[in-house]
This record gives sequence, structure tokens and C-alpha cells, in this order.
Amino acid sequence: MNDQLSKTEEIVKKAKKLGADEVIAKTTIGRYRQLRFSNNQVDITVAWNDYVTDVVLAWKKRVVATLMHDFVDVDTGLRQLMKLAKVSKESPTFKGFAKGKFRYAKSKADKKLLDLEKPTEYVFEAIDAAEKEAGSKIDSGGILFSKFEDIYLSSSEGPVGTDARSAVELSIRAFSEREASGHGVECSSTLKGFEPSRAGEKAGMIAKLAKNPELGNEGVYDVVFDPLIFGSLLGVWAGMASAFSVMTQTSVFVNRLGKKVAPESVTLKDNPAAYSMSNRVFDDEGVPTKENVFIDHGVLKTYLHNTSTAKIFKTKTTANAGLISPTPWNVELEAGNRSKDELFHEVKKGLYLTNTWYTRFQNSAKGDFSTIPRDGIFLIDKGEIKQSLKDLRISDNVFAMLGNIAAVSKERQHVHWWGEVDPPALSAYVLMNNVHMTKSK
Amino acid sequence: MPRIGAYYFITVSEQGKTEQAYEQFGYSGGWEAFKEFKIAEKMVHDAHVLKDVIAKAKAVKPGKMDLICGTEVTGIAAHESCGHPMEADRILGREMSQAGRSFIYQGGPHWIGTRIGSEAVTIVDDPTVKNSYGYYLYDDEGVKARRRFLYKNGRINEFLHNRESAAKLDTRSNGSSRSVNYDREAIVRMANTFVLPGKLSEEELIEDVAHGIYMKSFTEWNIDDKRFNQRYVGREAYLIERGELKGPIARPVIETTTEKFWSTVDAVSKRVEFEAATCGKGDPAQGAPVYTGGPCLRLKGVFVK
Repeated sequence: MNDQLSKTEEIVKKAKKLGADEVIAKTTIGRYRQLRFSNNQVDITVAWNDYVTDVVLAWKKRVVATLMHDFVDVDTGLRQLMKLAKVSKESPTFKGFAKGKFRYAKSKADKKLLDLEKPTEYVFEAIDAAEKEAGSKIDSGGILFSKFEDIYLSSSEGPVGTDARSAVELSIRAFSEREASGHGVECSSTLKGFEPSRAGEKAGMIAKLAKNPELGNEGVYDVVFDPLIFGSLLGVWAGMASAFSVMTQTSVFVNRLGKKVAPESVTLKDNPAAYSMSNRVFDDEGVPTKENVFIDHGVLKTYLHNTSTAKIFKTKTTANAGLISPTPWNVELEAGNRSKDELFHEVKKGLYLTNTWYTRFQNSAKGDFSTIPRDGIFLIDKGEIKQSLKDLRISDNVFAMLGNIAAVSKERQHVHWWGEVDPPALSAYVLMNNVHMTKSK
Repeated sequence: MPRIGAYYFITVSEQGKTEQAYEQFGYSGGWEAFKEFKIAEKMVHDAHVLKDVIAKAKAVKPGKMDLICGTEVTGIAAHESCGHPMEADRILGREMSQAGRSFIYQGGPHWIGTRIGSEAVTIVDDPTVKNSYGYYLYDDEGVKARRRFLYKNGRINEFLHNRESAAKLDTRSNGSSRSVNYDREAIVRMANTFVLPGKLSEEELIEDVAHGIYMKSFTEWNIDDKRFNQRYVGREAYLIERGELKGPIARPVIETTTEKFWSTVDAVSKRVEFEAATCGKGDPAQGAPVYTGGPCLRLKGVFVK
């Protein structure tokens, strides 16, 4: 048996001996590489390894957790954890960890990502592509990131398994002028099909179009969302589909199971599939992951659950543990039946938004929020991009916006960047009506 | 260094309406501070405030008016529209792809000495505030910490530097290099960013307002990645008429630029308060413990909606 798995199982046994009722230990041996660049130059290359065991245990419904590094001083760590459990209060939402033995799919992680060869070449491939597409000198920055994680999980309730998870991403932001920029990303779980030039081309193309921006005007617009910015919204809706968000009244989906929440054209899934940066074969309780359709042709079908929230809602786990809070892994927007170009042609007067950041809520139960588009913002006139704009903000309601989706493109892209598009998403171009835009006064 | 922290998030629902509040607490030191956080007391206060907003608050009639920013609002504005744009790595483009750039850049309209606010505005970043959430005496490159005057009497004065950014701008580090872990890059960070106090009491600030809003605390906020266009939405807010506080106002909004915000400050109160926060920057993300804070500010003739 694998040495790391044995050590992980040993932690579970020791915790049980100390009196824990239920225990899960998950060891991650991670190899991470990152290259950061700005002003078209590499600033720093970082490589770090992490060897960490997450331990969560329940004692008389008190739930406590800790991290242990390198299996060092496990006994002391577990004794302290038990001590903490004994002074903690009972968790009203803990209903037990997943029980039983499971079979898991075979991981398709890419071993080439154990140690990325010549990472600098990927970066310059992207920078060169951006410059070529922009047609003039650009100033670009971004990151190349790769990871390979070996995972070992053991639960006192039965699940035991190993997984390997890999991912690689390149994120590039290119400036053609001080206030004209575009952002492109290339995300994958394997090196096969990973093409940094695609990210560069997208960043360069938007940066070129974004030159000479004028101040935008407040108003209500029809908007074409780029897959990157729409990935941010997909993350918001998927997060609100978590049963924990529903229980804590921080979701617009409270009391809406089985109800229409979006147009027929909208189907949203959570799926940590092999292609995704969030690929995994089991969740943090050791339950085999699967595709979960949570909005099916506009109807809210399920919340995302771990074992405890599933029991509270009298249903089955969707394998989205997250031990405290069920979490979406990878959000998929089902492809529509129209091309990206057709979406643009439908807009008589509207906007094309490419990216955003700082999405913040004034009321997450109602969905009132704002977010600030960055990089290219464009005025669309009779289906054509006419003018680059700047300094506009989306100030709207995420529930209303979900209902205002008019069309989804056939073309889709796997997107992720920083904390703004996280979890990763399989996103699309989306036409949305009646989006409220505001600006500084 | 030992640090303790806590936060709460509450939702108050009544008559099908909801309001929410978030509060964070932080301290460099031991558990002795926990009682001082007065978490239960503050939660009860917030619950009452939110209940009042649901039951009694009126919408603001949009227009230009005077605005009193409570200490919490002062703090977030100091952090977002002074601290962040004054980070030299951002000014140099080092963070261009993630945390963004700054409206301050070489060859641009704003640089050291440029006016960005009124005479009443002096904002500092100071890691040496004892027991503060952002407390340290030496930064993560071993440089001695000191108070940095970022905006001084309304003018851009001194950037936040680590050794890398200082070398590039031909100056010396002022001890602003922080890293959250041994395997993370030490980058330019704030510590405790706050507006220095003036001489007036809060009552004196309010009594000269003929028509305005007192935005005591905020809920939604954000700012663009050049740190110029920002928005703050009031959580606990009141109407001011002829120098007196009237009833609660529901979620008043200011959406303005950094220059307009700080240029319209005509008076600053004398009592400084701090709020704990976790500042986000870096990739991989490095959440850094900080204080934001300051006194109450009076802004003349800003658009509130």
C-alpha cells in the first residue's frame, strides 16, 4: 500500500483512539510552479511544494479541523484538536460524514505537469501572440501557473482513495495604451491542447479594439458578455446554489427549488470533469464526484450538497463537500444554438463587456450588487463594435440578470483567473437584456 | 507574532425584506483582546440597525448634498483610494494583470507633489500602531517599519515601497514588504491605513450641514483597478436636516472618483477609530491583516443617490 495513504489512514486511526466519533484525513502532496511577468518581462519564477494533511473530526457533534504539515508531530496535533472539540459547541448542521465504500474513476492527471519544462517559452508565446494581434507595441503582464497534486483520503466512515489532480493556466493582460487593455486566459488540466497563444491573441485583439476609450454613459443596455466576464457571474450563481448559502440566507435561490429562475435556454451544471482545472474523482468526504445539473432549462433542480446539508434537505449528497460548506467545483453553461456573431448582430444599441473584478453585494439574499468591468468595454451599434468606452459599472441584481439572459452562444471556453473567475467555468458568449450600468458623478 | 481574528455576517429578515451586515475583528496579541471585540454587543446593535432600515428607512432623494462619512467609511476609502494606488509595485506595473495598476504613473498627471485632496486630508500607513491587526516592527525583507505619509495635506507624498520597487524608483524601502508565508513572494503591502484626525467633534461636523446624509457604515463597495472610480453603499445611514440627525436612510450610494472624494473633504473630526480587514493582493493570493480607519469626514456637495 502507498506510504502516504498508510500515513493518512494512521491519522484517522489515532484520532479514533483518542475518542473522535468520525474522522477524515486528506493528504495533498502538491508541486506548484508559477511564473509572473509584467512589462513584457519575467519578474519571478516560483516553485513550491506542499505536503499537508487536512484533518476534520467530530466528537459529540462538535466539528473541528486542522492542517498538519509533513506528518510531523501528528500525536500532539490530534490531542490539541480533541481538546478543541471538547471546548467547542455542538454544530446544529453536522449530520455525519459520508458512509460506505466507493469505487472511483481513474484520474487523468497529466504527469508532464509534475515539472513544467521551459515555462518561459509559454509566456513569450503568449506575449508575442498578443503583440502580433494588437499590431503595435503592447505592455503585458500575467502569470503562468501549473500544479500537480497527489491526494490521499481516508475516512473513518468507509471512504478511502487516491487521486491525482493537474492543471495549467496562462493569464495575460495586454495594454495597447494606458487605458486600453485586453485580458486572455488559457486553462487546461493537461498540456495537451494547452495553447498560450490563444490567450495572447485574445488579449491583443481586445487591447487593439480598446484604444481611445471615451467615458461611457449610465443607462440600461443589452449586453454581450464575453466568456471571461460571464465566468464571474457563473461562479456567483453556482456559489448561491450551495446548500450552505441557502441555509445562511446568502442566496437568491432560497425557497426556489423546482421553480423557474432563468429562461429555457439556460442550463447550468457543476462538473469537475477531466478537462477542468478543478478535476477530481472524489469530494472532501470521499464521495465520487459527478455532473450535477442545478438549473435545467431554466428550472432550479437541486442545491449543491455535502452529506450533512443533504440530510437537512432530505436528499442525497451531490459530492460537493466542502466539509463546512458545499462548494461548486467547475461550472458549465450548456452551449446555445447561435453563433457568437449572431449574438452581436441581435444588438441594435448595446455593450460588449470582456472582463470584470470586485464583485460585491449589498444584499446577497436579494442579489443586489455591483461589479466593475475592466479591460475592453465597447459600444455596439447595429451589431457592430463602434467605440471603446471606460469607467462604467454594472449595478444590478444577479437574480434579475439570470432571468434576463436572451441567448447563449455555441462557442464555449474554459476560463479561470485569479479570484475573479473562481471556480473555473466552461463559459460562453451570452446576450443579456436590460443590464443597468452606472458611473462616477 | 500571535494574532486573533473573528468576523460575523448577519441577515435580518422581516416582512419579506432582508438586510445584511458584516463585521471583522482583529488584534495582534493574545486572547485578552477577545472580550474587547464586544462581538455580541455589536451584533445586537447591527441587528437593531438593520431592523430599523427595514421598518423605517426612506430612500434618499438623489442629488448633490453634504455627506458625513463615519469612521468605517473613512477607513475603507483611505485603504482603497489612497493605500492601494500608492503601492509602488502597482505604479510600476508589477501587478498589472491581477490587482491592477494605479491612476498614479510616471509621466501621468498625478505624481509626488500633485494635489489629490483638500488641505484637510492627510492619510498615513503605519505598521507600528501597537496591537493593531497590521502591526510589525520590521518588514519581511528586514527593513525597519515606520509611519508613511501617503497623502499629506491633500498632496501625493510618499509611495509604499519594498526593496525592489524602491530600487526601480531610485529611493529606499520604507518597510512595506510583506509576505503571508515562507513560500510566498514578499510584495508591497499596506499595514494600517488611516486618515489623521482634525479638531472638530462629530457633532460639530454635523451641525453645519443644512441638508445631507450621515453614512455611518457601509455594505457594498468596490473600486476600479486603477483605483479611481469607487462606490460605497451605506448600511447604517441617516438624513441630516439643519444640523440634526433625522430618520434612517436605506442604502444611500456614492459613486465618485478618488480626486472628487478627497477634494470635497472640508472638515475632519478628532476621534479616530479602526476596523480590522483582510487586504487581498498577490498571486497566489496573499490575504494580509490590516487596519483601516480614521475620523469622520465631511464632504461638501457630493452626489448621493
